[in-house]
Amino acid sequence: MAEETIVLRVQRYRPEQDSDPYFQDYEVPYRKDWVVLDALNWIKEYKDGTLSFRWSCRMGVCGSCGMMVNGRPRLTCNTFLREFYPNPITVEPLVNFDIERDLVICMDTFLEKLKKVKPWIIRREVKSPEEGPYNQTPAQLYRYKQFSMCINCMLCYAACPVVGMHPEFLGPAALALGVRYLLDSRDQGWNERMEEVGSHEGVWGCTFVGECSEVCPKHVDPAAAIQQGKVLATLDWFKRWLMPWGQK
Amino acid sequence: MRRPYHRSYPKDWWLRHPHYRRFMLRELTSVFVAYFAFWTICLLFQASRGPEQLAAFLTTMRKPGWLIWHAIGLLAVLFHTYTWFETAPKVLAVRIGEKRVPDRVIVGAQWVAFVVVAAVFFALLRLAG
Amino acid sequence: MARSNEPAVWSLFAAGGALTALVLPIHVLLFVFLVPFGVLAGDPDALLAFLRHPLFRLYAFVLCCLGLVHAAHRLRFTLVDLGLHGLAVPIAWICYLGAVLGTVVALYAVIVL
Repeated sequence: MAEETIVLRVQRYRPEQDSDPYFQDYEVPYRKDWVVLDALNWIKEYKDGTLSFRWSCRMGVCGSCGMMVNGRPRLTCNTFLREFYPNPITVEPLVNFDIERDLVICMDTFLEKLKKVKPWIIRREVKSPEEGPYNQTPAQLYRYKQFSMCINCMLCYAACPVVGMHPEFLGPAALALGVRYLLDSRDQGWNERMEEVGSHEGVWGCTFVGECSEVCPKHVDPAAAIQQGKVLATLDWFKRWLMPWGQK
Repeated sequence: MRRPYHRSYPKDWWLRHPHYRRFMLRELTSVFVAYFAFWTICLLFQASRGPEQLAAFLTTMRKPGWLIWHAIGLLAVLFHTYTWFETAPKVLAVRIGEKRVPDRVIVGAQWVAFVVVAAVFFALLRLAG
Repeated sequence: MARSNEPAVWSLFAAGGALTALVLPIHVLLFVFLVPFGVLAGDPDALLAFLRHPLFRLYAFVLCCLGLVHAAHRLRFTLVDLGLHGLAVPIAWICYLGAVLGTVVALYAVIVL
């Protein structure tokens, strides 16, 4: 019996020789338990060693293998071939990012945006290790826990039309992280963080398309985080206007 | 060698996925929200000109052209209500202690409020004559 | 970056969105459909008395004002999303000025009613 196969249409771009990206078809063995990443690895191993793509954990944890699969941002390690078989599968690098090579995107802009929201605990009163940890009740933890589950896979950036149209927009993952720290009872960096989260490039750039939450493999719901960030920024704004003397 | 390739974002992005089309439809309900506000202002001006003018204005509204237009508008504002209620739990994230109130409870509470408001409006107009 | 003054309009947008979501469908069903067909308040004099009630005037003004601000804010972003990036600033001005103008007209309408 002839082996069943499936066609992967892979977008290629080799900066040293190609002026524009183009598509290359590869016929790969079809296995019911293979994911798109398995097929890419098979190509790399047996057909074309020049094909470049990022991957690491193969279990939906590291966030490295995000690509456009038939036009949708997906983690290729949990996207099965059987979802598309027998039709061909188109694989492209994540949209809304520049292409480094083949399926590898430039993530510099994303890392810059992450840094802007200061994703770490800011303390005015610092405890020494001897004084013990900054304690938190379960209720205080649950306020932000969902928004802290992000794996930085950038699928939400590829899903967001605002990111596509306005590259300066901080974007779903970075803003969800910013809101996560605004909601953290241990954090004391409210004012400096709000300067970024509550800016035009921050939560106010969002028009609540909501697609970031649809594609998020970790159910972080960045759209919810951003809308809650709008509420926080609004309450903060009114407080500043009504009680200007209350500012620290 | 680094030579990043830049792709431009398609102008017709909002046609490219059902979710994007639904988003655009949701945003465009605002046209009918504005229209019905404008229509209400017209009603008030007609009313200020006396009962005959008011009656004439209301008779005009029974013409098929107006009815079709307003039926489309009613569907649009209902879609606005539906999408607004659906997204409210994300914005509010009501918590009781450690637990977050389930989305369907918040959505349901809004529909209950919707029905109560409708009943009150209906009863008030009924009382008026 | 600096904090935006967007909360000023966003809070009105949200209030308008919530109010219109709650009352606009029934408002339209009653006044645009049932009243013209005489199902409710068939007598023009009785209807007029209803519309002239201070509470209705207040309701109509708030509904028109918040509804227009809500729509202006949404349309402002939608028109830019549809591709009018270069015109973002004039679009914002036109939308909000339209809402303010409409609010003034609505105020005049409920006073002279």
